[in-house]
Amino acid sequence: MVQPARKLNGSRLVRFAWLPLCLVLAACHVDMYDQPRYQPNQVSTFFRDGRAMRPPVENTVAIGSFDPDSALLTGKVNGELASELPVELTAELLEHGRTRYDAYCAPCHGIAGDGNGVIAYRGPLQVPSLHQDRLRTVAIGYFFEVITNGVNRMYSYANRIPPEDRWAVAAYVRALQLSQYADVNDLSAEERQQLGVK
Amino acid sequence: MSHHGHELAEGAAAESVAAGYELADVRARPLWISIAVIFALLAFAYVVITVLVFAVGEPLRDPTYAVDVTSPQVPVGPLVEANPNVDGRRIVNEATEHLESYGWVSQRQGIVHIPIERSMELLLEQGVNPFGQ
Amino acid sequence: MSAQIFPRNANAIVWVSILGLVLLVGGIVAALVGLYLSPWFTDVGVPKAQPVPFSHKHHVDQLMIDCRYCHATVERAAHAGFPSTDTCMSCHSQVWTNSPLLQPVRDSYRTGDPVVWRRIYDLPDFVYFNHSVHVAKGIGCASCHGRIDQQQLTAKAQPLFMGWCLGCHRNPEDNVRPRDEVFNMRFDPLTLPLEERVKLVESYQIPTDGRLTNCYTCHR
Repeated sequence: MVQPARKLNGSRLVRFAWLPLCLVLAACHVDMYDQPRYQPNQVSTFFRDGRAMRPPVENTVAIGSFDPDSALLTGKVNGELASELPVELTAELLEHGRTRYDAYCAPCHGIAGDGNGVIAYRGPLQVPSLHQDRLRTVAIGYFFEVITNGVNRMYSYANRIPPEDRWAVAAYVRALQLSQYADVNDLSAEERQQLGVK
Repeated sequence: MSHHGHELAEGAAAESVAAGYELADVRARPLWISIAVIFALLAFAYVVITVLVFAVGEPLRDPTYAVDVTSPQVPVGPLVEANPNVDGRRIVNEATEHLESYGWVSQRQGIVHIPIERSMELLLEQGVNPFGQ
Repeated sequence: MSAQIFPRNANAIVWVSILGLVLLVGGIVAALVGLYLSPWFTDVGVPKAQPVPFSHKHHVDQLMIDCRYCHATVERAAHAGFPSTDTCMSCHSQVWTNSPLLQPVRDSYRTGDPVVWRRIYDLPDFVYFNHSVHVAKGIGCASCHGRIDQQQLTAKAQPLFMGWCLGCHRNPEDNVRPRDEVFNMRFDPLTLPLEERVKLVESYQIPTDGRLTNCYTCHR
């Protein structure tokens, strides 16, 4: 056999087409998967307390999150508990308040507000009923105040329920109270008939 | 693989035959057939398993369901609560039922409890202080 | 005339070795795929050791606490919100106050140092995921997190492969549920007839024009 002249022609080059595949090996690392940035709740070795999420400096508030004159944010008007909602009372507000109440309050206060939630039962914890004269006639800002700052053994829920939602809960609590203490004269004729009133 | 075998037109050398060397070329057909058979068997096994799974009617279980949901295993007594789910469901169901029904609280004072939906309607009419200040 | 140099069993050796090679390569590929899909690699169903052996089964199923009680920002933010020590203590200052299992929580509450939990679901950093939009569009917790209310110890329910994400982004009607049922772990969207689910997709304005499968939807 006669050896052909060693020339770098096209077909010879094709034999080395696999070489770029070696570049694939260079992609075997995870720094796109774990990029050098922090995720929420990640552990940090940079900060002394080990938290990547930085808690705000004590006694600071974010811009727009506090206004001492705003009833919406403080629950108070001129230092007194607000007796009216600082937001409009609508069916949507009550419905929204219902979802908040069922998620955050019902474990202890009970779905019906009688203080017999599943947690209260299992604790067992003494949880006051929402259906008492004092709470029926208290200014509605009181519920806002309690959710914001807690009361007795109840912790503050301010970091879980934003101010607008707290008012929704307060309004829903009033609906709950009304549902357990309604005047029969406010009901329609059919409803009264159903209850057996002449 | 046949092109690797040496097709010798003149046949095997006499000394090869005498030494007992292989004379015939490797046959590729049985090789391909057995590979095909293996893959066919794999496919067949897959079909059979699928059919069986469907026939039994119970899908392969998600490994996250470590607990049998329908019949919780209860350890031997004494128990604080035999089935903790029951009380929770009972409390929630009772409260929900109560919150969806009409009934007397005090017939003498004319006080009733009404469904929460109705109460929300009433509250929209009466404002957030239905009991006064 | 050339001499034969192969022994008589050469054909058999070739035969067996080629067959073996095919099986070996096939076996290696199958084993790699199997490993890739197995809990050994994906961590599906494998609980991690945590400072406190928290049970979702107990808190969600038995005590019927809503998901949002602890994961409070799930409707408002990309991150579902991990409960702070304060959240744990809002009950455990009253119940199980002397349990040694809860010592790390009490220590954290006293000193202000966080309890260091180990992350269960870790999406790659090149994937954008937002809890709030999924919740708002009627995708239930259970659709991704499985029946977490039945898990004594928390483990991944999904390997989070991209194909799985795309499956739902292509056919959202397979997983959509009414908004009221998002946090109901017992609800199965497939109990609704297909027409109703399609209607939900429409009324929740889930895009079906292919926008959901755009690369940019998740890789932004």
